[in-house]
Amino acid sequence: MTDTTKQPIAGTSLNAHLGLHVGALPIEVELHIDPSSITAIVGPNGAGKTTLLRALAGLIPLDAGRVVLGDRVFDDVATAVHVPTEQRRIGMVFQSQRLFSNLSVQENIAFGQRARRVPRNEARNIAEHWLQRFGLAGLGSRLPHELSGGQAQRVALARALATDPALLLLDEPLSALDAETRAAMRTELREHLGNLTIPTILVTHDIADARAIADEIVVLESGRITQRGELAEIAADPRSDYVRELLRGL
Amino acid sequence: MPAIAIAIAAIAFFALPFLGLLWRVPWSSAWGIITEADSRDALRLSIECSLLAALLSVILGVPLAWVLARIEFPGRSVVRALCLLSLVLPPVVAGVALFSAYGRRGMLGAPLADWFGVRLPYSTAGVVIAQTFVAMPFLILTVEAALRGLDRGPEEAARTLGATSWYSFRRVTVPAIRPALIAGTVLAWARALGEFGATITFAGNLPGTTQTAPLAVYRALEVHPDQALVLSVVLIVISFLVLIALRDRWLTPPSEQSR
Repeated sequence: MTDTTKQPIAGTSLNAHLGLHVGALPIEVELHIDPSSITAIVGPNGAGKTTLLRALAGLIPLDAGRVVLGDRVFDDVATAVHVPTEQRRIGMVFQSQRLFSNLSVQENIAFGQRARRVPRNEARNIAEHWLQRFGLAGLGSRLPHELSGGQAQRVALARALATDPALLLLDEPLSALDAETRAAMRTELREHLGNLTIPTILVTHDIADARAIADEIVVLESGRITQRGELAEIAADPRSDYVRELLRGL
Repeated sequence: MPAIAIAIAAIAFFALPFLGLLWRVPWSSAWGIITEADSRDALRLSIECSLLAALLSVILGVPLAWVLARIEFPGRSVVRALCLLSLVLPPVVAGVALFSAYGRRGMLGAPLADWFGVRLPYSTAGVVIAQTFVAMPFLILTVEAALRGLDRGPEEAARTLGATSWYSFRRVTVPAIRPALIAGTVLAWARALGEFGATITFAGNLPGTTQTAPLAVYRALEVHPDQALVLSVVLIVISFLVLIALRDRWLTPPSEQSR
């Protein structure tokens, strides 16, 4: 499934060893993700998927472990390194989009550039480029509440990618959408993400999302990885009841 | 409907004093009284000091509200109670406390006067301090409640986009709490405009320097009752107009306005 035509950029792979807690549940996970590779983290509710993503983003601290992207150390508990979220240069798409309700679509997409002191006109041009690319041309002056669910999700992805991130984290990006939009967005997401040359992590509880979008699948159950590999490998040898149940959804 | 009858009685309870006031006002000489020098001074001083107090309340109160809402530290509830104390205190007690601290022989007043020649009591700056002291809690309460009730999601999104906490505060948090911020500022301003007890205790009642409109009304009641009535009407009109202008327009979140 790995696309060999992509040009991986040396040194931007993600290497993470994360130890942390969500409530009383300990999470212990190792991840290695190549540039241009999309990893789906699937698992039941409460397995720690979102917590894992938030830790990679630096939104919550680690109890133990290291997070390294290329040659940049984001977290190293042993040496007390913790790079704040805003300095990580990551892109994150949230389940509920979290668009800025008081800003127009264009201002939402330009937000990351403006936060990095890019001049207004330049940021606007970059936003305009992303609006075109995501089929949102003409919607730049709308407010988020005037968008459909699919449009809002495109804006959220465009907003994240407009900052030229070195790592992309997607937390259930499709689950807030209705079934029809969801199928269309799945295809679209695959196209947009397929062209990226950065490590991408997609958290989902739907194996169909993982099949459509991801190169590798990581199964997370109760804070531990129970199985990982390409879908075919996992399907050939399901190692838990959860995975067997999951595969029935295909 | 008994509720409607009681409501009408309650409305009358609020309306009758104002009607009584309007009935007593010497309308033919009202403009002459307003333009008397001491009336003008008192109104000007009232407007200037109350606006300054409102501004000071925002500058100090918003960061304070943010700290109280967002940062957990030991003794937080004690600090909050301390900062809101002047809300429930009799204003004259607030004035006595201010005097004890900043008075000529006060804890801070003595060094301020000796070293810097700064004397706050019986000065216009003293009026602003007295007003801010009793007015800021209105802003703190309103803004802190709004910050506590705020969805933190967009702030997190801003951080992932590279925004510093200050940038995200300005562009994400402040717009989201704008209705509360405006309501809190107006409440603080109104409290400052109406402030009497702390001002007269701490800053005295000196025409042209510390005599704001409420103090002028108090003084005039004895010597020039018509002036007291006219100044009262002016204060009522200003406050009423502000409340009407506020209505719902500024008090609802932006996303609901356009719906």
